[in-house]
Amino acid sequence: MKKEVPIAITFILAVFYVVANYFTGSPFLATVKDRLDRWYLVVAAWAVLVGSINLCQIHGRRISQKREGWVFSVWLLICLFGMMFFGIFIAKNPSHPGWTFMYNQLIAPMNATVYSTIVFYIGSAAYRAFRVRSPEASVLLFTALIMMLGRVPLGAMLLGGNQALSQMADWILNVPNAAGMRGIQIGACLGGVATALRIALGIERGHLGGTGE
Amino acid sequence: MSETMVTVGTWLQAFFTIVLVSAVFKDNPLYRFAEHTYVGLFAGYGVALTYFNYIRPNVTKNLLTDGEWSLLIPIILGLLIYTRYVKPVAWLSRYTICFQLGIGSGYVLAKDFKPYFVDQIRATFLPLWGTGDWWKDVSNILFVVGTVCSLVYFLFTIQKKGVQGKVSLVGRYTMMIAFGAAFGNTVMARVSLFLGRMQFLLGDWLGLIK
Repeated sequence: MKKEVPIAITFILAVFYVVANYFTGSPFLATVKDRLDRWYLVVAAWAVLVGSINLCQIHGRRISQKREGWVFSVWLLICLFGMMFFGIFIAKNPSHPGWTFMYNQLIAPMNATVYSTIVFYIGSAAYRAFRVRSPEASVLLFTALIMMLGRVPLGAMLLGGNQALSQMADWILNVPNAAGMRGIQIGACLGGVATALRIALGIERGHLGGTGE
Repeated sequence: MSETMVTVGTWLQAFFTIVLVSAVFKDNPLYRFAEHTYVGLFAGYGVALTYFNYIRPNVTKNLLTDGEWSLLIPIILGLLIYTRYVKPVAWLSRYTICFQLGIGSGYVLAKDFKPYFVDQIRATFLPLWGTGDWWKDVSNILFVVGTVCSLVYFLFTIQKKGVQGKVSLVGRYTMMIAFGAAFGNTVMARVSLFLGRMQFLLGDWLGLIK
């Protein structure tokens, strides 16, 4: 019941899903597959609080141990529960003006700012990591430079209006970049299929851990 | 939205933008305040949005109004994940994970193989000669050689010596170009986001630029 049944469920569902995708003429298989697709989303939706519970555990521990910055943890939990409470019990639907205000004036701009500041960190990290130390690092840096200069007017300005950098960037994107990415994608697909097979056949059991047994 | 709310929204945006950017210079309490606000609001937003889009329609419409009682199965399965916080029954959460992984692995086996493997290989069969454009011929040759060499790089069951070593090295360089391009594009995307925030500060907030 504790291990064998869940593994059997994984196996049966995986086999059923594969069979249903190859025997598309069967209305029974198609109906069950559609239902499973819907159930997949419903299960994921009802498990949505796992992330919030983890946040509460981490920050709750910080608060109870009065670790450095615990006041910020209190504030984080206030924001978390405040937003949840406001959305579910006050706004009640995503078109509520208060809800759209929270998203448009706070969450979206903060999201954009957080992601935009990453540019400084990846810039300094790249400087340390890719300093022209090896031929490979030089190739990477040179390509990145062409891509960056080829995408902005500065590139053409440096060459006196010539669009060569932009054309080079396009060519790099369409030929060597696509070739490298395709090789990686094919390799990743084979890896994904192998992992899926291992999970379906019960060889991979890492996901059964974490329950304290 | 009223005029006052627009003003309040603009000032809030400006405050959080400046505070979040300030961390680039030095970590400070205001940044940490903004960071925790962002994480808390975003997590709460995600939960409420899932409630709006999935949980509420499933319960009020599909289950109670339309009488689709079979939905109780995935709802119970979804709720079983929370048993992992109660040690004696924590093993029950495996049912949720295994259900999701069963469908997920079935999906990968049935659906991913064609677009990410078969179609990718098919698309690599390019004309290497006689397209009428010599540059296209060269590009196609480089494309095919680059793809094959990148794949050879991932063959860990052969020793990378001699010809295999050289082919693998070409694959390595091809991937370095791909990573460089990806890095350049990522930086440009982030710069564009940063410019958007600066435009907001100098335009919408301070009115210095139109």
